[in-house]
Amino acid sequence: MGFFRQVLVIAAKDLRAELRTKEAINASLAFALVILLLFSFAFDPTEDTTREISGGLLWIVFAFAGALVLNRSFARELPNDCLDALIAAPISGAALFLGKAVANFLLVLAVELVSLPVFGIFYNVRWTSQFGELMLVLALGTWALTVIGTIFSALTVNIRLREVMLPMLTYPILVPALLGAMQLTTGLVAGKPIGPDTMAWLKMLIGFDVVYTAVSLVLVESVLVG
Amino acid sequence: MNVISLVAQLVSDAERLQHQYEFLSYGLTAAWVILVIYVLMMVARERKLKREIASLRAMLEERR
Amino acid sequence: MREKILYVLGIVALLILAWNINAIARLPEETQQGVTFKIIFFHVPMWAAAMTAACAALLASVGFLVTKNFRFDAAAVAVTEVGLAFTTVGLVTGSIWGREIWGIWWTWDARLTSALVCWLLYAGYLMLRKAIEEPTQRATFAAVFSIFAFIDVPIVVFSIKWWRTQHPQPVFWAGGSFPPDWTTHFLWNMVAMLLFGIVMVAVRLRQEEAQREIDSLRRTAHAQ
Repeated sequence: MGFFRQVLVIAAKDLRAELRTKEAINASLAFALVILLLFSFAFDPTEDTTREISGGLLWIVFAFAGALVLNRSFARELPNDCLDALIAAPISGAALFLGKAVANFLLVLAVELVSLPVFGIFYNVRWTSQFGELMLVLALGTWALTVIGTIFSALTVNIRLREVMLPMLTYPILVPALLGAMQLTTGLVAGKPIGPDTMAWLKMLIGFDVVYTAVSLVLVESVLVG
Repeated sequence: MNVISLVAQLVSDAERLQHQYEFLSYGLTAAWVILVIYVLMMVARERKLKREIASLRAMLEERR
Repeated sequence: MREKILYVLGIVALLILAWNINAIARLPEETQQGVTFKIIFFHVPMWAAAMTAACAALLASVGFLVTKNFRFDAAAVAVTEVGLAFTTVGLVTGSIWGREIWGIWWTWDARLTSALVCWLLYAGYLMLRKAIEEPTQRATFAAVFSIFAFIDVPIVVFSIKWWRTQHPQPVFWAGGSFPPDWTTHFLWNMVAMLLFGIVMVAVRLRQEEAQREIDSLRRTAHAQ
């Protein structure tokens, strides 16, 4: 089996397991909706204020809801010693990591794609005017979230206080990626396409994704095998 | 007249200086306090470790 | 013997710092920022020491992952902890300086924000270590996290610089003149602070060794 075949097998396995129980994705979706509801009390959701902070609001919702999916990613393998079997399986740690990252990416993206229309309805925002570019930013930001989240999910799977440690370790590392995604999303939701002034953010987001995917693939073997 | 304004100038200068010295002393105090707290934490840990080693050694001696 | 040398070096470092406070207090006022500027004599060496510690932590972490030698792990935790203490001092002194010169305790400008993120990352490193029991796993995971954290810092610095150049800057570096005879005191403080840091790291390293000795004694106690 080639490397990419292995990645696909792992990703398909994770997605199938998740879609049968739906435990992480349901919790994550419900959590996202609750935060969206709570934010409407935090400020007066008029058109102007919403336009100014839409990116920040959305990405905080995505980051919080995403943490629930990521927490389950490796914890799901703990019962019946599935994790040991996966590590012992004849696939590289990098393929295992990448497969799980792809599965998480799709799950978190699904949660985001449901939250976006809800956001549009609750806050009375027409967010579809720059749909293509918004999807690009969404994909890049979500990949940053999942690649960091997946490697730290592997890192924290066996330790005490797993649920607390994962967000505490991931969010500070994600600061540049979230900052870039927030800036871009705010502009795109307001209907402004990515121009020369926001191009730097897009480049930074791509750079962040590339650097951390590479570093994770190099280091994942020592995380899994120890 | 001139003298009065001179005195006022001096007084305001002194006040400004005092205010600045106040903040300088806050800064230096904070720096030293944090360092001293860290050193004390280090000393406490040192003591704890030494005590632990001693008690473990004594226990092993006893068993032998 | 090694202990005594360490303690003497530490005391020398503290004496230089204490003597310098006296000397610095007597220096004339800085032209634009007045007396408060003198916090810089503590603030900048603190950051220099903290940044040295961050670089040393990266080297030690990579060293551990390559060699699996626990000395590197001990070195990594020692420099990170001392570096975190210095970072705390740097943040607090900087904040007090900002209150006097800028009129506010905190502003989200590039340097402050990235320093705070740095502080959070290295505090997270220490918490991660506390949460893992098994020594090999602890050392490996901590080393991986340390590498991730170190890579993050330059990205944070650049991204926040862009972020802030897009917004009006409420405050900026007021710019000061630095007379040459001040430089000697400044350099002395720098040397003293680094020396103090090295002594603390050495003490912390020895504690880590003691911890390992305790672990092995416990194991023999169990084996009997």
